[in-house]
Amino acid sequence: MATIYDWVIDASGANDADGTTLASGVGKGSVYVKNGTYAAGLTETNDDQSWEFEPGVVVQAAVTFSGDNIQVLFGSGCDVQGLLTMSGASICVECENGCDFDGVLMSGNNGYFNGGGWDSISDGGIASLAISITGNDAIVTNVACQTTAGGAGAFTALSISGLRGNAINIKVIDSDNHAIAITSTATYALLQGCIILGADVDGVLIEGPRTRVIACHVTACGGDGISVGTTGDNSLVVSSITSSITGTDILIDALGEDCCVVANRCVTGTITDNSGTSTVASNDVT
Amino acid sequence: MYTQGHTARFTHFYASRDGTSKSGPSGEQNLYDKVVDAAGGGDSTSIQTGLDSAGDSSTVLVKSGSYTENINSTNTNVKVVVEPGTTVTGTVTLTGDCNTWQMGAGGTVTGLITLTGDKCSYLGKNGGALSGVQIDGASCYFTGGGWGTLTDGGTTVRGILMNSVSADSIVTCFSSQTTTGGTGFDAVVINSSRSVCSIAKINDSEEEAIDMGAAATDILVLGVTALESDVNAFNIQSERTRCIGNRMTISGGGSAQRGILMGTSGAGDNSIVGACVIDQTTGADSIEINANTENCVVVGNRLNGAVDDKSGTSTVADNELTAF
Repeated sequence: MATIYDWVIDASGANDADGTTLASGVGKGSVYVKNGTYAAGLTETNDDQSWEFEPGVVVQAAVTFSGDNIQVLFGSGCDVQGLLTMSGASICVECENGCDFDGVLMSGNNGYFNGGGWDSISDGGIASLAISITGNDAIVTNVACQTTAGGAGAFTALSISGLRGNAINIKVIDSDNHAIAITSTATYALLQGCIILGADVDGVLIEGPRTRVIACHVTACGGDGISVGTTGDNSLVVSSITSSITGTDILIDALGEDCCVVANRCVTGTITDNSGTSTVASNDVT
Repeated sequence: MYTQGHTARFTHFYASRDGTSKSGPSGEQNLYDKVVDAAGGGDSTSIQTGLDSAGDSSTVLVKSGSYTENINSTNTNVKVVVEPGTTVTGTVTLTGDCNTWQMGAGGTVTGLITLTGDKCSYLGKNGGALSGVQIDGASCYFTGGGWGTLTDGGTTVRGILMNSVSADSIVTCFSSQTTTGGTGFDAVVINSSRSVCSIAKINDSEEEAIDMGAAATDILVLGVTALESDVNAFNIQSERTRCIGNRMTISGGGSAQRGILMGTSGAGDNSIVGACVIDQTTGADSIEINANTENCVVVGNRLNGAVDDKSGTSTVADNELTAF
């Protein structure tokens, strides 16, 4: 029998490890990181690499994967105390539940991030977006995120600006700005099964055209629940629920034309269509 | 040689190519029964040989490298873990039940991947280059691990084919395409009942982007992005199909192609509910419901063109129909 990693890292230097720092494993192929605390992070610039972090690993710095086709597994309870950047193409990051990140940036195309459950969280705090998707064709799923509410409104919890971004089963705990923002460059975004528990401004701001919002739950927002902005035309909001909204449950801007808002439950009781060209029907606003 | 020993429970020792011992992951013993390494450092240089010698209920590690062989895993309960950047020049067939093939990031398989056994899994880790996937076993699972994994049927096979015997299967998180301009090959074909296709991207298709056969029932197509197809984006001949949150565009093919065609098979009870965006460009109806396809629901979609309901028994309401 045999078990093989090309490189084993152990911060304690025990177990005849190959290295004690994460940087030592860069470009080594398949890398296994033993449980421990690592003061310095890593920047993996090579393609076709595999990184596996044992449960409970603490990294006190930023971690960057800039090569293409890198697969990463964070064991349960891993804590990355800096920004996780996925700038290479086709990066696959999978977590076991209970991981903690201080921001995730998916800037490479075809990125995939799976938190493994809502006990995994990306917390941008007062310093950054919690999750930012700037690459095209990204998928983020099964993770919670937040920024610190009550600040200067600078940091949205989840921002999508790449084309065809997919956010599936995301829990936004709170946000200093919008909970989820789809920017004007993010055509064809998909939000599915997301829950937003609070935000200082809007729950979902749709500036990207042809966005689909399906089966999301938005509550306790200081702005609007779901706001279709000036460039969010041709978007859809279907089978979603809004409640405890300070502004309007669902608001369509005058320039957000030809949208479809159907079969939603708006507990606060207001849907405002300023476009005059959208289909707003079969919603319950009682 | 790769060897190992144990100093204590849950502590794993092994020696690598340079002969130095290292401790692997704790909490697990005997991670791999066989190691395959094209470079010669493992138990074999052939994946097939490794599988044959590992037997049932085993784990096999395939080190990064190039392997030229047709592989058939006939044993049961086998997990194959392939390191990133590996190329298999040949076919991969999982014949035994409960086989799992975990393909490392950026992996390539030049031949058809076939999941023949029941309860088999293909677990991609993104960035893969595949040449067609066929699912013949029941309750199978395929994930590309992201849209960077592309299964390209070219001009010879479907991107993904789920045959009728593969009921209760799931395909998700992948890109698919076939070469446009020919005839006969869809990017995705679902002929299996109670199957799911979700969060997929269809780059292009020689035929329909997704073709759902008449023999199947209770298919769910969720969150698919179909960028282009020569024929109708979705061809629904199946019964009780649910399409939710999909987006599709048609271009290049013949005239009068539709976003969704609910066909002539006589099956019905389909639901096209919720945020389907259909942006067809050939001037046909966005959705056509055949006369035989009764009692469908088409609600809450953003459509470029009209809905042609020939059934007379379907509910078509609250769609936004303005041309883009």
